Amino acid sequence: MSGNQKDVGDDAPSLHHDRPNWWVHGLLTIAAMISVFPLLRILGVSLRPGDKIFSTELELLPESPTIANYVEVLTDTNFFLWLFNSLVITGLTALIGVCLAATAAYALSRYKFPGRATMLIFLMATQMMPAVVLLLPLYFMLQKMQLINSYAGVIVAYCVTTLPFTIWLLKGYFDTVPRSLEEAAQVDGLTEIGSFWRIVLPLSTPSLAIAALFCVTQAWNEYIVARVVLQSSELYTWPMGLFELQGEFDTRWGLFAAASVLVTIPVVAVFLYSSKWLLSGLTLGGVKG
Amino acid sequence: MTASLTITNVIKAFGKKRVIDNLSFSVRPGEFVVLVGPSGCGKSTMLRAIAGLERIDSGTIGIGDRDVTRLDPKDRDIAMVFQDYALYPHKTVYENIAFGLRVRKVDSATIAQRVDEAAAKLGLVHYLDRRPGALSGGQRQRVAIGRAIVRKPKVFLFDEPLSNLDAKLRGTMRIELAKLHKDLAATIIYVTHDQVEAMTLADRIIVLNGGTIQQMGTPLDLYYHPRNVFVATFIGSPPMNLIEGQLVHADGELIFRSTGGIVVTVPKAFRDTVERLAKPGETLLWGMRPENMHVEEHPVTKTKPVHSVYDARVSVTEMLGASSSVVCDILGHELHIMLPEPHRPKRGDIIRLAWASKHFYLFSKNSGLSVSEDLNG
Repeated sequence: MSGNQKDVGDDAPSLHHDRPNWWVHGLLTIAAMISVFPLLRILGVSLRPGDKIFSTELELLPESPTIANYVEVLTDTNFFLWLFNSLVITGLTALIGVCLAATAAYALSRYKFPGRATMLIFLMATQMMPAVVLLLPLYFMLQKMQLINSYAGVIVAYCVTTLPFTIWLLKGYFDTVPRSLEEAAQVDGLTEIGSFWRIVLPLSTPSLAIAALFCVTQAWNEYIVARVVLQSSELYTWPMGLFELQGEFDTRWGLFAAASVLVTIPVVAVFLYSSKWLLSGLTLGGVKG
Repeated sequence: MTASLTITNVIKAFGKKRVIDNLSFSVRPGEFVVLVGPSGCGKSTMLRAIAGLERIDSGTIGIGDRDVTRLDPKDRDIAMVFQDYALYPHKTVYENIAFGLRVRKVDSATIAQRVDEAAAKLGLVHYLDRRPGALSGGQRQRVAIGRAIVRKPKVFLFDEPLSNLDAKLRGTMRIELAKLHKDLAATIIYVTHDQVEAMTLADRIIVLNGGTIQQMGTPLDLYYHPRNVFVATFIGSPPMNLIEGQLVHADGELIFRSTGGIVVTVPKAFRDTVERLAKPGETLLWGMRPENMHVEEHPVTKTKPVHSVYDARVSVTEMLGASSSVVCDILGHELHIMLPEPHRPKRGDIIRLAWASKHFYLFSKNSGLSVSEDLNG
């Protein structure tokens, strides 16, 4: 009996450390390929010359690649206008969304008040609903507030839809910041708001970065709400602009692909830049204690 | 710079439970006062109320001649050292110590001078560029103290500052705190549940239980003249033994006889008070300090009084080096005693013990109050 146990004990570590786990690595490689393939296809299509656009060949780099599609997107369409609109809306959504989430999460983390638990559950529940369900009531509300066809309209809508998640995220983080830090700061001479601003927020940069990143990805890629709220073409965001390239009888797939590649660059850049915070932030809550 | 502190009729309740029940005391400028009591006695709440971190329901708190009851913590001119140190993890040691001064817009030359002074005093000179995460527990505690002293506040508040340190470091820090108090001549309110800290550090101890003051006085006052059973058993280590029994008169003497048959003559100096305060036939508790029992070397003779000398069966001995802590049984009473060298009885040994002390503690079992000394007037 004891001999058996010893054998298992001797073998188990070598399984993990000496031999790579082929099964796991194989599966991960396949999964990675599946998710990267469409992106590579888009890149390939965007480089195709016009007469090859409907080619069924699968090679990644087409014969005689060209940047004509990129040139056309940048010169013949309103690409820069769409990009500008998207940047404004995304930036403001992230800024306002994170500010609101941080203050709300702080209140939920630090103060006891009637309805606190209900509010947290309610916030969670709204996450379970598909966003499309909210579309019609949202439209009427924005109309009442005369926010239809304005930046403010979409920004309000985006903030509302991202807040539940970001509030939960930040509340969870604030819960791990010891209260005595704020108390020490108050004894040192800060007000309650001052200690939130100068002690809690600087300590929470990883989670604030995650919250902001979440808002950015949500707002940057959103289409349906923007479609409903924004009506005049000078307010179009890039996903709506891309749809403009779809004509009644034909779709300019080359332009479509080139524009898609271009708009992916900012999000990927933001993601890569913030990934170190993202990783440390995701583990912080668990390690502190 | 230092100031007095006056607490008047302070009440604080959490829900229905009063954690501070009409507390009043005052602290002289430069005095080191320790609030001591078991957990949940209200000592930390009282300290937090003095700091302004906890609003009180009624009563007043005065620092110097200023009523600070309704002021924010930042306006009270106090500094506090927290149990978990509460250092700002994202700031260096220097910035941690300087933070309070920066917030108060002190010019940076003064800040540098005060931080350097404090760092020198606390042995932190080489650690000023580090972050708290890179320091040991003792060093963190020093930084927390540094942060308090650079502010030169009117009153220092310490909330169980040594409880997160290991035993050896606690001893060292205790001595350093005592020195620091001498150096700064500051008013200090110090909260602890450790009666050793209270005894060694305090000019005056306030023993709290259930939100009320059990007794206030110098450490020796509380040790020699405990007002009630709670204080008697809380102060002193190991705690005082309590032996149940009654008073009887015999041969013109007043005698305490325990339920098991231990007999102690009430010393003459205490006799009048005991007769006045103890109700006839009342069940009493004789308080016997572990250090007041000694091994009787000489055989019992006719000339020595036979009572107060008993054979004890040893059940547990803890060797502490120069002394031994012994649990033994005398006539069915389990007693805890401390014996100096060379006595090291083993389990099962029979030793002959005698009680001798100038101090005599007798309490009413019913009220818990002392009947051997009139301390309740």
